[in-house]
Amino acid sequence: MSLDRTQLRALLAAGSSIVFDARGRDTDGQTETPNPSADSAPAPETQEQTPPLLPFFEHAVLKNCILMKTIEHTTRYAKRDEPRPQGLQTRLYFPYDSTQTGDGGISLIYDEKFSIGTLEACFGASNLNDDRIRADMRKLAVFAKVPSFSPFLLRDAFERAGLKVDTRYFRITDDEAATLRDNLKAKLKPLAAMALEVLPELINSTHLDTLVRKLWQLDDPKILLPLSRALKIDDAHAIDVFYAWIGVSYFQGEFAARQSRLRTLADWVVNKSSPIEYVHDVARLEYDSDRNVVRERLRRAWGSVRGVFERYNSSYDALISAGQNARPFVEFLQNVRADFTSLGERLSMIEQCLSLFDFTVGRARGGRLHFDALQILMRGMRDISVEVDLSREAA
Amino acid sequence: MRTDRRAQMRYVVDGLMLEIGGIAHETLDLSTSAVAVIRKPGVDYKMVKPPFRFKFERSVDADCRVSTMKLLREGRADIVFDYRVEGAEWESVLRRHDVRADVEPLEDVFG
Repeated sequence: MSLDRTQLRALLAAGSSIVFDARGRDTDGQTETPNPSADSAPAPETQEQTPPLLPFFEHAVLKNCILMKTIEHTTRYAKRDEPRPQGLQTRLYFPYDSTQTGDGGISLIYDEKFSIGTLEACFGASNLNDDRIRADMRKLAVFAKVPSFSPFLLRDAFERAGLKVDTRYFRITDDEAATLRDNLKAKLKPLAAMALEVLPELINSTHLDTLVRKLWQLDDPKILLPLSRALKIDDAHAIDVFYAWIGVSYFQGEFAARQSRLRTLADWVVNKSSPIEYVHDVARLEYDSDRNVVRERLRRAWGSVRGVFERYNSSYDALISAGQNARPFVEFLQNVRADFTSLGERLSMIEQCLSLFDFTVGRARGGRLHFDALQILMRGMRDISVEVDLSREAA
Repeated sequence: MRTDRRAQMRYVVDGLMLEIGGIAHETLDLSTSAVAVIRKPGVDYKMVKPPFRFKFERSVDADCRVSTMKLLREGRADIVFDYRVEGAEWESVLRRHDVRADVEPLEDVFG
């Protein structure tokens, strides 16, 4: 991926669910030094009572790190319309100037080979291996594992990992997190009832709420394994499958929250993105081609997202129907981990396009863009959007 | 009639309890005419006696008297009853408190 300056600034300004600013902040909500993404900083409760946010990572080399959850782009596939390898990646971005984060920097991809040695090589250091950096590596592993930096998902992932961090970084209050958690837990009720069916010895001694809590916490094999076996899930994958189902359930709200903005973007791409001035034929053809690519990729991505939730909803409905048909639910679980990941990819792609669109159009006088700005915006969204890989989706 | 019941929309309402003869039961899911609850030890479900009542701490609208109840099915963990609640608004109450009520359906925004 090579984000250009506009794309980078759009992402940093958006405070979106694909950017996590790990830099420390003063009590007034500003970063230690001014930056273009200050709008996304967690709001302080009161200046007098709120202690400053220390950098999220302990080691100084990660002090100015900003993490991004983006889609894989490579320059090897430079031709327009040519399929690109895709995949969600976690990127560590280190701005050259922490006061001007949108002016570029170095970045590292967190993949299976990422290690303390990767950081040492990047910073030309040879002695990073201490307790602080090892603690930071555990945090980075959490960032890499989640398919989105959505505040609730990230906060929940750190809680499940047992890592104590300053929760103000997650831009979600305790009350908001508790409400979301309660709602997601409530959706586990039919599964808890199924657990009772396979563990009848619990009927007289265990409340449904207790089972729901255990299914949420995913830490009691005596409950999880009999249920997962009944649902035809391998023991080794049980926790990941149930976690992915909870994640898909959560993502439903995340996509719904973006629907209105995406509708605006779709309307703009289809009806309002024609140049207002005369444009040479060659440039116009190229622009129209970009526009078609953007429209088609976004349309397919959104269609794929809707498809996942249609299967999610119908399998849940069948589970609680009078006939209690668990088969669609079992089938949904077979693919739920891939669905969870693909939803993260779609969310990242849509969020990046929305960020760039809002950033560009929001700065245009009267909302109208001249052709050069239109070209940059459309090309940017073309580069961000990827072909939807339908191969991992369930039939 | 049975076909109609099976076709009815089911709701999951977190925290909704059903009192049967003064004993609170956790509800699993319910339609406007059938409710599944977790069984309790020592209760003879073939001989249930009133009063019957839905109890819901979060809102008074789902806290209401059940006029009739009839056993439909006994499972290992759950019991299903046919029931009747007076009032035409009952389904909208269930829909409002369903665990999926907060989710806006995703539409084809690209037309």
